[in-house]
Amino acid sequence: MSGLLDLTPTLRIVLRNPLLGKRYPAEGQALAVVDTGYEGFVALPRDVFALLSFEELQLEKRRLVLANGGVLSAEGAYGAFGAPDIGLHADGFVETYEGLQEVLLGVEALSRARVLLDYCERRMTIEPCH
Amino acid sequence: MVNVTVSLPEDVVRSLRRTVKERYGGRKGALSALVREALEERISSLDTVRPAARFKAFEGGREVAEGGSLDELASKLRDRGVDARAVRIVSTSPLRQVVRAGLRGKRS
Repeated sequence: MSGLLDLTPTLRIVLRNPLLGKRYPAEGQALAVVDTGYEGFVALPRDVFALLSFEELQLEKRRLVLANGGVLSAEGAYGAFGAPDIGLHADGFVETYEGLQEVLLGVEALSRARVLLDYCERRMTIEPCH
Repeated sequence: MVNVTVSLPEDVVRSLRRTVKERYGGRKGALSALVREALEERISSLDTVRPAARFKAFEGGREVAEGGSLDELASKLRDRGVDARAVRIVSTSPLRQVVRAGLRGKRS
């Protein structure tokens, strides 16, 4: 299910590391922040990244440029996310960087979805592209 | 040039004519130019929808498996007895080395 938490768009998702057969959360779903300012796929706090055993894979590094011009060093590996409630699934680059405390869903993860933000009705809908 | 007949709602046509008049002063050919520009932009945006990526696993620079999804790749690696920890995974959709991120604040 997707929705607005206060005014922040969120989506309930499941994260997986298919290469090592790991899933987060172990049961149920986690709440991800839909971050349209993030051009990547999925960004995770370090502890969630570790729970999914991504650290055991060969990691790639890259840089993230923040809105204030700051630059962060990120590292990641390929993984999967799914939003079972709406039938949206995708594989992509899952990364982590210092200080991140939320699960972020970037525009790359949503590039095959229709996202409607309706603040007049305090409603958000996400559905896969047809 | 080719003449094409299309059907549009009245309000869209009104809006189109008004925009042409306001922006181009009703210049001859301006309406066609605007429609052409809009169509080219739309077609271009649809063309940029990338095909689904494929994933390849390399061990010591040698490709050992390929899959249309990570699940398929993982399955092939298991079948071939290759430890996923020992391979480098590469996507056919190249990883951008620099991307923009928002500025999420820390919880207080």
